[in-house]
Amino acid sequence: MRFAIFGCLSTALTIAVVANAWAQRGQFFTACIHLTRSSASLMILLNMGLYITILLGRALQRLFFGQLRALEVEHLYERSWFAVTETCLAMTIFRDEFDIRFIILFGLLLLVKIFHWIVQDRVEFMEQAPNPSVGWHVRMQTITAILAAIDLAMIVYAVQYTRTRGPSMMIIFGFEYTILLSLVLSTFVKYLLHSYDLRRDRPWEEKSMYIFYVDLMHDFEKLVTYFCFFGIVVYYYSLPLHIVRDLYMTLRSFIHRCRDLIQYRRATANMNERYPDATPEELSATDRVCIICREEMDIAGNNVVPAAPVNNGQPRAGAGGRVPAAGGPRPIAHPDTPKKLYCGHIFHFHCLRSWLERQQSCPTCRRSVLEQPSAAAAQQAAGRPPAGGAPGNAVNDFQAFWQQHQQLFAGGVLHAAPGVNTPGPSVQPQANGGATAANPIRTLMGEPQNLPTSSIPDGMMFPITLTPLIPLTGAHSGQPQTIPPVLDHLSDEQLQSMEGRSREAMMERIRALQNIQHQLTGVITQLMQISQIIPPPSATPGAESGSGIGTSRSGDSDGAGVNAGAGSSSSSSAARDETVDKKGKGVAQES
Amino acid sequence: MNRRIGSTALKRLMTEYKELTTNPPEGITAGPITEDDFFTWEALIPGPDDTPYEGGVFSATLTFPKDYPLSPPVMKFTCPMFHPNVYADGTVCISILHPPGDDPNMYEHASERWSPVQSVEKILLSVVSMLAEPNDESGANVEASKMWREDRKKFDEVVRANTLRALGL
Repeated sequence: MRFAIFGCLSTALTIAVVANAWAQRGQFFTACIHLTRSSASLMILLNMGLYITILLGRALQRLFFGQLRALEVEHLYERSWFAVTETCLAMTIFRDEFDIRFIILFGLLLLVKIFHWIVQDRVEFMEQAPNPSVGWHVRMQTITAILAAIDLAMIVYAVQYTRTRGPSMMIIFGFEYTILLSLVLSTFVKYLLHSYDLRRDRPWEEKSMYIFYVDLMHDFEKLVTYFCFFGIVVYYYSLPLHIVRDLYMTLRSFIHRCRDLIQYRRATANMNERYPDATPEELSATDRVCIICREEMDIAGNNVVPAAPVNNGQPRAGAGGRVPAAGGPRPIAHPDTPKKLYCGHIFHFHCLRSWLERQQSCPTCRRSVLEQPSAAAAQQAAGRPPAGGAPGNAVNDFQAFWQQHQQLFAGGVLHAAPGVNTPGPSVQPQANGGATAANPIRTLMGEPQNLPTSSIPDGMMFPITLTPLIPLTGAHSGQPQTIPPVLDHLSDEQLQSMEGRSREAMMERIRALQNIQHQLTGVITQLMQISQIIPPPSATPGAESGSGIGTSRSGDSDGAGVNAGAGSSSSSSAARDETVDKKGKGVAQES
Repeated sequence: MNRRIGSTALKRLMTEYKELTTNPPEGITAGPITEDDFFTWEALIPGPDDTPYEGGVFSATLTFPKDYPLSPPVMKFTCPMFHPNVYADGTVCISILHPPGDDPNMYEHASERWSPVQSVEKILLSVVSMLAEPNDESGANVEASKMWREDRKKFDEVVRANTLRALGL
């Protein structure tokens, strides 16, 4: 309504002005001169031009887009507002060249821009809209082609103009149209992607990724264009204030996108190995519902757990339906495979992937999925007890083992103290000293392969009074005693199973390391016993040895002595193992 | 439109709708407006007791994006609603309805924002508790925020009048 009044007024004024000029001069040429000389009539004519432009724009919009949606209108107002204010700023740079032509060019630019925005909104809306008709596609393609042609023509014109006449305000239009061309191209690629998605029977999971890349490209082009423009304008004119906002926004968006890309690549690279498949036990411990799609997770029929590493970071999820269980040359995780994050939460493979595209954190607990497994496990161990029933999580076991170890260290000093203060008959150690001393030395030298275990059968042969001195490596760690594997006799398969980054390989390695630690603990314990039993050269053997043991056990000097005896181990580990040893003896004494 | 049957969003919305109809939270009803469009829902929310909203029933629309549940829906009251966290046009501004990542308001923790763990039911329950306890730190409606903070009596009056209007009385 208001627009109609505006139109009527503009038309009436224009007719009045033209009629007036005609009446005064009576001739076309002089009338024209009269019109252009008077600024009032010029304003009225410009206003008429504006009205005609809006009318033309509306007609085109009706032709190509039909009715605009409320959101599109809102976007238009918002963006037009920025465009106008920014152009006003731009005018300050080119104020010397400000003339009618500039206004006309600017009006045209705004019109073209508006159409670009509408096309952009329309293409984005494609995702939500019901299946568009053929006519819709034809119109979209036509308007895209027209816009691209206009952009290209204007760029060429701007370049030629600048070449022949040197830098002028045409630079600004040249750059504006370059950015618009980049926009229309990226919009068109998106349109193609959406169209392809609409044709498919199954949802297209990778689409969001491609769209992300298109946006990234567009941002990059925009950034390059802006920087060129910035450089040129700063060189020839002054600081181009009007693009500072847009430049900042583009730069920020570009940096964000790059960061997202890196994080996303990190999170989804090797997704198949990075996140282990959930085992049936783990799955049954939960309610079996994937929190993302709210559907059941099932392991059955997904026996494509890869034995060999998958090189492709992004398996073709959803591309061809089910992958046959037998698998091709390269096993690929099925999109419905339940995958477990480090934090223990389980999701469908494809659900997890589409979420990781947006956010690299666990949907349930928001812990970053990029965290190192050990760090995550440590947090878990600190935060809550490891889930029972689940088969041995090597990392967790290791953490628990380590914590126990340290607790023993902390508690061991206190616990061991009473045991130390009440030494057995002083004769005992002395009487059997020779035998015990010989025993560990023999085990050290003769049977290096099963050091910790060897002490137990050997201990059985000793008189019962010796129990305090038997190093019970298995008992103090709270871990079941494992016989260390003979590493040099491992078969090739076993060795291969310890390589790689898969869960199994890691567990194998951790197990091996644990065994080594057991062995070391055993050796150190035995060495300590030796050092305790064999009196130091300065001390007199005999009745004093009993009290000597008592004092040296609680004293630090003995730790140093042990350290020297152990040789290779650091003083801290020696001290720790000493207390562990005491604890072991304490337990043995109680029994 | 058959092709969309396979989409995660639609399947999940259907699951949620089924759950909401079989086991609805007290006083809350929600569902798609028409069978053809599962991405626009209507919801009715009761005003919580012991608040000026008590006794009212508030209608709202929920618009789901195509990539739901990866992105949050938009909730908009379709009745007059005077509340510090509801924009003048009815759009609800609570943290769990904000997409993760960029924080437009720079005050929310990422942990408070949208994640697929949330659901329509949780959103509606959050909105009910939002009605009971406005968050005046994020004033979507500045006037309401100010009044809630400074002149609770007047705020209650305005809200009560609004509640009556929402009921069409």
